[in-house]
Parts: sequence; structure tokens; C-alpha cells
Amino acid sequence: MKDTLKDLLKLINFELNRMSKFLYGLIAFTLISNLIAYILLPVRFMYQVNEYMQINSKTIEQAVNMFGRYSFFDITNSLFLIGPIFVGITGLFFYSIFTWYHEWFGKNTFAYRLLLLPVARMNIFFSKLITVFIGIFALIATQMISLAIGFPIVSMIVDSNFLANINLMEAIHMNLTYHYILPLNFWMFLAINGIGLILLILLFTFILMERSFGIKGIIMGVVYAGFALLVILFPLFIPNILQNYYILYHSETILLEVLVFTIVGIVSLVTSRYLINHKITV
Amino acid sequence: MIELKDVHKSFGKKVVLKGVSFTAKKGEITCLVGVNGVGKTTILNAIMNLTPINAGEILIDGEKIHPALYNQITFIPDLAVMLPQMSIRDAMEFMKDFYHSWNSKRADEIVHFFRLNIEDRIADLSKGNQAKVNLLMGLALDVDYILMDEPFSGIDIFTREQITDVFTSQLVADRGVLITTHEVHDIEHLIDQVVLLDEGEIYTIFNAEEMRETQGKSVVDVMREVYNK
Repeated sequence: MKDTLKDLLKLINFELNRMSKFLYGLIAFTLISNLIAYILLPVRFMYQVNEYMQINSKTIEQAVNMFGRYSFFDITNSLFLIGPIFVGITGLFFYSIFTWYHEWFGKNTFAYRLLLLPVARMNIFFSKLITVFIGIFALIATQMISLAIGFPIVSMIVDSNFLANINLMEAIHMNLTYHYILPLNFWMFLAINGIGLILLILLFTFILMERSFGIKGIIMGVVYAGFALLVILFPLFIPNILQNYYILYHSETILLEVLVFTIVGIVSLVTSRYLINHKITV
Repeated sequence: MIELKDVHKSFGKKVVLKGVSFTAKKGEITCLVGVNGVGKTTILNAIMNLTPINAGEILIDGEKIHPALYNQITFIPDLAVMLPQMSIRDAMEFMKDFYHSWNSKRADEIVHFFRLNIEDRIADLSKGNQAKVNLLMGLALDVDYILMDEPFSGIDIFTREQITDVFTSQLVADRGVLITTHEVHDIEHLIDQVVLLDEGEIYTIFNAEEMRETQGKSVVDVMREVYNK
């Protein structure tokens, strides 16, 4: 057990090193894009306001009536902040696929070395899974730090007369994307990341099916993923299926969803374990 | 002892192995010979659980392969398998990190033997030096069995001679070696057992030295008889 954990940690460290350049790239892109937003957008706003007041000889009140008050929400809602989030999600999604396929189709066939390591093969699976999740959390942490730095910058640039009285947390959670990425409720945080984890396990299972059975594996993967999604969505449609004869309480739906996600996760892990130990081909 | 018992393997409709059975003993060099596509590499991959078999059984010292056994048996494939961005030193560190059986002293000896520069990046190595690195990664492990797939494939005559020297050195002494090669004449005098494959089946198994002494035939002579028939 101790050795297994040690092997897993070594593999995670190895995978993190391999992902580091890509992750640093995403972090740098996020920070630069955010920083541009923190400076460019409020400066542009103040420039428009000042120009309006000077050319039209208007008072601050008139300018406020014309432009409204500026808040940090205007920043969080901009493409400069939302864009990197979607680039990050897309990037990590493709990395999740790439993390398997580059072992086979890279310049050298590293899959040979990896599968011949004297460690449980599921450790390879878990190391890749955990590495992608570390990437997700690293990007979330980057957003949190960036927002904490950005808020005072924006407050400094925008004249207090034009600044809306909204604090950082309010500004963040007025935005739906941030509401899901940085949830205030712990259970919400757990649910969102839990769903992400199960979907990632499902994706890895799909990839292992393809790596084990080729084109047949793709068909199996599509059928399996389709069935799994059907099972996951089933509790949401129970009232419709039962023609509203029995309506589920919100808590009951959540409980059922937790149950089906857990089942899908366990079945996917067991399937992946079988494939990586007995069916995978180099 | 590596034992293959009635091993069958197909890729789709193509049957590659049809009930292959043989044993490779510790302390002996067993050579799998046959023309291209006869299933030599598939056998090595199957022993290492890198390709699943359809039927039959493969045992290493009486056990089915499992991860811990990779400290006792190693596979040297005919293609580069370490990450190209790694230096030879990084690759050695990687092996040391994961294999209890990694022997650093022996690794240094092999580096010296092959005159490799450990600061060189794998991606920058010639095919010959990549083959040497593959040998380094396999031979520096204190294992009982070594599987080698075409170690002489596509390399120059001087490198080939260096690799041939490996077989007469202490590097493979007392170990069981299972090798596939087309350049069988290079190591013919070192081979103990020959397993000759034809169309996915074992055509014959013989002792190379006995064949030379009793029938005056080399391994290549036997191969000619089989494949020119």
C-alpha cells in the first residue's frame, strides 16, 4: 500500500512535469488577458466619461446618468476574463485526450516504457486523472488570485464618483460562469468537481476502449458513454416519464444524481482497470 | 523459465499465432527466427502483456505476468521508447526511480562500454545510439530474463559488433535471453536454442550447436530449407 502510494506520487510528479509547460502557458495567458482587462477596460471607461464631460461641459451626475456606474462586474463579464476560462476548459479537455495518445503517437512510443513499469497499471490511469485535476485547480487558483489583484486595480483607476458600490464577491457571483467555477457553497463546489471527475473518468474509459479494441472500441465507447449519460440524466426526467404522477423533491433528485454518478464512476473505473490490465495493446 | 502454452493470437481476421508452445530457460539464449510477419514481435509483446492473447497461457517462473515481475523480466524493443526530450541521464534517473532492480553501477559500465554521453538528448541520438540506449535501459536491470526485439535492426556494422559483444560479456551472463533477429548469423555461435516459426506455428525447435555438430547445418541453412521449400 505504501509502495503503491509512493509509485503513484512519483507518476503524478512525472506527469506534472510533462504538463508544466502547457499549464504555465494557460496560466500566463489567463493572467495577461485578465491584466489587460483590469487596466484597459476601466481606462477606456474613464476616457469616455472624461471626454463626454469635457466636450459637452457636463457634470459628474450627468455623466453618471449617461454612462451608469462602473463595477468590477463589467470586468468579470468581459471577454478578457471569460475567454481564458473557456480556453482553459477547452485546453484541459484536449490535454485529457492528448495525455493518453501522446504515449502511442509521440515521436517515441513511450507507452512501452509506461506499461512495463513495475507499478499497478491503474496508477498510470490515476496519475493522469489527478494531473488533469491539478491543472484545473491551478487555473481556478490563478483566477482567484487574479481577481483579488484586479479588484483594487480597477477601484484605483475608476474615479470613486463613477464606481458602483459592489464588493468583489458580489461582482464575481453576479457572473454565471464564475458562479460555477468559484462556488460559494462547499457542497456546490464538491458537486461541480465531482461531476467533472466522473466525466473525466468516463472520457478515459472511452479512450482505453479505443486503445484496446480500435474501431470496435470507438463504437463500444460511444455506446457506453451514451448509456452512461442516459443513466445520469434519467433522474431529471422521472416526473415526465411518470407523467407527473410522482414528482421528486429537489433533495430526492440530488440524492438520485449522486447515486447514479457514483455508479457510473465505479463501473467506469472497474472497466478501465480491466482494459488497462488485460486488453490494452501497444 | 518462460513458458508459452498453446498461445493463439489474431488481429481481426488475421491469425498470427496458432498454438505456439515453447520454453526459454534461464542461462540460455533462445532465438526466435522467422520471416517478417511470422509473429516474433507479437510473442514478445504477449509475454510482456503488451498485447492480449486470445487463448493459451504464458508463465514466467510459473507465474502469470504481473507488474512486480517487471523487476525480473525486461523487454528491449526495436524502437525508441524513452521520451525524446529526456537526456540519457534523465532516462537513467527515471528507470532508477521506478525499478528496484536498477543497477546504477552496471548502468555506468554500459554507458562506458557503449561510449555514450549521458548529457545527450534521446531525440538527438542516431539510430545506433538509440539502440544502445534501449540496451542500456534493459541490461542495467538486475533481471532474470531479457527479451530483445531485433537489436541489430537498421544499425551500422560497428555498432552491431559492439552489441554482439554484449552477448559474450557479463551483461547477459546467467540470464535467460529471448531474442528475435533477422541478422541471426551475427550471433549464431552464441545461441543455445532456436525456435523457428512459420505461418504462426512452430516449425521446429533445435539446439544450434547440436545442429552444427550432427548435421553440419547453420541456423541460416535450416531457415533456407524451411522458407525456400
